[in-house]
Amino acid sequence: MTRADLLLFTVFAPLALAMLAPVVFRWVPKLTHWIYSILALTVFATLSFLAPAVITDGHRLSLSYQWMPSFGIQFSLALDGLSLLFAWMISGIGAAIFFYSGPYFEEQNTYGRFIGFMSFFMASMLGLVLAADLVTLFVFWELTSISSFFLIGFEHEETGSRHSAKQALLITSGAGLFMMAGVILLGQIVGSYQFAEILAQKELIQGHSYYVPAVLLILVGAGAKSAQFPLHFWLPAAMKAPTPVSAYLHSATMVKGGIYLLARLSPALGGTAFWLQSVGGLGIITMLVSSLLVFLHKDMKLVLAYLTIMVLGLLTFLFGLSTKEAVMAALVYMLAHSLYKASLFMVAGIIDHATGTRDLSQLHGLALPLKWTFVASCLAGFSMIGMIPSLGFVGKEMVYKSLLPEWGVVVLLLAVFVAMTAGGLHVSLRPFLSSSNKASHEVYSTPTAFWAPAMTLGVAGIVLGATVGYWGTPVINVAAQTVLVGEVKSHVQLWHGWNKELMLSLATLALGIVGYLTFSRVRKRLSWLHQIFHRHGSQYVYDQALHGLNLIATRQTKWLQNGNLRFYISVVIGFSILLTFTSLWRNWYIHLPDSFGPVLFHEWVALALISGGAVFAVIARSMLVTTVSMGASGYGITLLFVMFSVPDLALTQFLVETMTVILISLVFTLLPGHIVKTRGALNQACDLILSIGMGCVLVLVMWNVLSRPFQSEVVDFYKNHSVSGGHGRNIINVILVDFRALDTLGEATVIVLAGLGVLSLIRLRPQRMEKK
Amino acid sequence: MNTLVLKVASRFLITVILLYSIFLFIRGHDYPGGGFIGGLAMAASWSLLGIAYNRNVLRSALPFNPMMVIATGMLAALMSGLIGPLLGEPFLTGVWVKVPLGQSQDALSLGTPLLFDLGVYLIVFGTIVNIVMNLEERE
Repeated sequence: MTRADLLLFTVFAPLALAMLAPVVFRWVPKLTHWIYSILALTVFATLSFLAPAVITDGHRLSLSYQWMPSFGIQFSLALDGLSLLFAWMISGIGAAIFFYSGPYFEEQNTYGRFIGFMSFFMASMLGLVLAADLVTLFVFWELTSISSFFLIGFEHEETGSRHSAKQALLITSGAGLFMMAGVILLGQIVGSYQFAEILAQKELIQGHSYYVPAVLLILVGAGAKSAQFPLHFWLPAAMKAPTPVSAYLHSATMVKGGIYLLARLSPALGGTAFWLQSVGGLGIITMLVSSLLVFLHKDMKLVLAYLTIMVLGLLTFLFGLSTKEAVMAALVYMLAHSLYKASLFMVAGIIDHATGTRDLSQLHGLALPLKWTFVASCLAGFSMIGMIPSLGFVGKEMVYKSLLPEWGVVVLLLAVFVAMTAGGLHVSLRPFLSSSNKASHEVYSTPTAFWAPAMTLGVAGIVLGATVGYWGTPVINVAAQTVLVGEVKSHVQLWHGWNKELMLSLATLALGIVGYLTFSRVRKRLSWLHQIFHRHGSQYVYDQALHGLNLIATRQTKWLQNGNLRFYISVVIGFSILLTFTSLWRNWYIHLPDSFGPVLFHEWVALALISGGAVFAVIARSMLVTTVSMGASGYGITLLFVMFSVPDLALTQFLVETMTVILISLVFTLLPGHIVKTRGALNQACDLILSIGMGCVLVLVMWNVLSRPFQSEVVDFYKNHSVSGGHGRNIINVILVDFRALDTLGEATVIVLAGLGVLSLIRLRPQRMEKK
Repeated sequence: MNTLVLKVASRFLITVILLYSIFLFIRGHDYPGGGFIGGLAMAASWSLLGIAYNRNVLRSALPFNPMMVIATGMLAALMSGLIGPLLGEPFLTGVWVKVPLGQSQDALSLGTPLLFDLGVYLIVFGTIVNIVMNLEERE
């Protein structure tokens, strides 16, 4: 097994274990979260084992299998700097969150299902970042959307959860369809879906006429996944999910998927003015909108959600810039964000469990009862507001550095960061600090296992920040190299001296603290904004669109499936006529023979019986006469069959006609008294047209068949093999029960089903009759 | 409804039609006839009983539930197809045995198509009689 095969392990081991989760849970309920946490750590360790080759030499470990050769699609995975960074993040944070989810669920019996879905998600996310083929990536992309659906709607008996899950799935998967179109366009331009080949063809792609559509389509998909404006509204709604889900999917990993894709495709698609305007512009708008919205909410998780959207906007913007500093800043900040956001979400979950509420206006004074949680929250908060020596500080500095000569943009970023600081302090500090001497709510105790993961991630944020000089340069450089395609030799370090970036950071901090202290005042000022977004925002548009869709579907169904049997039959007959006639028209092959043979007297009699019966059936006043006339017409056809010596058909026709007359008469005995025909003139005209049309079409089909040259191979085969192979001299019967027995079996099944249908219709009748 | 003529005639007709339907079924492989036709004829004979008399007579005359007849027919048809795979052949392969008839040279060929045809016979008969029986409410 080569080293690259270990990549298969990282993706498929969590998948396999996901399926075993319910069994594992039933077997060892107290150890389940340990087991899955260790699984995630094993993946992390595997990646660390493979890491040195990637980091030191810039190698790319890859494997691929032929999947759909005719389309040029392969199943390929590859580990390079970018995917290593992301995969480390996914597995490391995953380990912490799996461990946290155990005490969160407190051994409810649905936990087995939950951890199974989480493991499934982790496998899909790992597959997404490790994919080396665009189609493979897309498959895993959709798998993350699907597992997210199950996880958001985990409390599936709550209406809100179901609504949010459905909304998230519709938005991300719907946008995913657009992304697929973009992926196909790229594949068409380059002729392959492999990243290695796509990323090498920058000039070809950017000069192609498909470039702009491809970028836009992929941007729609990536933007929806990463909650960019205007498709951001599913993320706050997804906060209905259990907190481990919000911590893992909707802050640290899944929403970073779009960012990952943009980063991955930058070498091929980036660097142009169009890329800067579209991607960068999208990022800026998202940042600004969400920094206003963050002040409007009281639920801890909602505030954290809007803070996440702000950071996602920032990352999108930075990848839109595509400069070396911007990319490196984005990578560092992304890592920092995942660590502190996951930690803060876990803190929110702890507070929820301990006090029963997440409402920030009601929570205060929890520092003493929840000591360690408070410490964890502070550590994460430090990283969030960019206090030295956290990783968040390093990231923020790098962001400022990347923008610096452009002071206009810098001021914008400053405002955004100020909002982020204020919101961050609000969420991480306020519940713990007290305005009165006692805590706000009855506080339940929290076991160590509960706050330990949050603490770990918080500590990691600080430690990684402090030591960034050691690990930062190799890891981030190699990650940035895959994005920028070219050697990156930049230093990542904690302290750069008293420069402009540091001043900016200090200013951000100061203004942020001011914002925190005046939070409620700002919220009151901005409350009018809430009304506008509520009535005209994306969420409203989505709800109206869905409502309208349902309305149209209901109306259309009521119109088409109105319960009127005659309507159904008319529609079926009408369409049959239309479609058959269209095919006939395209394959018109009717030759009138030069002369018709003589029609003998007995044949005239049969014809008279047929047509006479039909005419009387129509003009008769009594239903009984109609039925009998139809029977007579059928017997006329029998006569014809006898005359043309097909005795089997004659017998069948005769018997079928008899049974039809009997059955219809029986039905009529059940109808009350005298039947008067009451269909209006228009309806009768329609019936006439349909009947004549059907008759003509059938005659034309028959003529078409008879005009073609007769191919006798099939007939000869049956003639020759009927006795020897089928042991029978009646070729028709031998065909029915031997040569084409499978068709007859199908037809027999249809008879059974039709009989059952008729039976159920008859049985429905008695209740209605009795009500009369 | 007083249909004396029909009632008397049907006593003979029903038996004749019944026997004729079996005859049609068995001769189907070599002469005009077969499972479908036989089933229709059988259904016709029972329907005649139902029309000439009434539903209860029909119900009591039928020794079995028509639904069971349909199910048996389906089973027979499918089983006949599964005999082939038991011998390593594809589904619905015809398997024939020759049953010697006494001392004469002629042998009776019996095979899975006959079983299949029986299945079709029962299905058709069962379906139609079922419908007729349920339609005969008011009598």
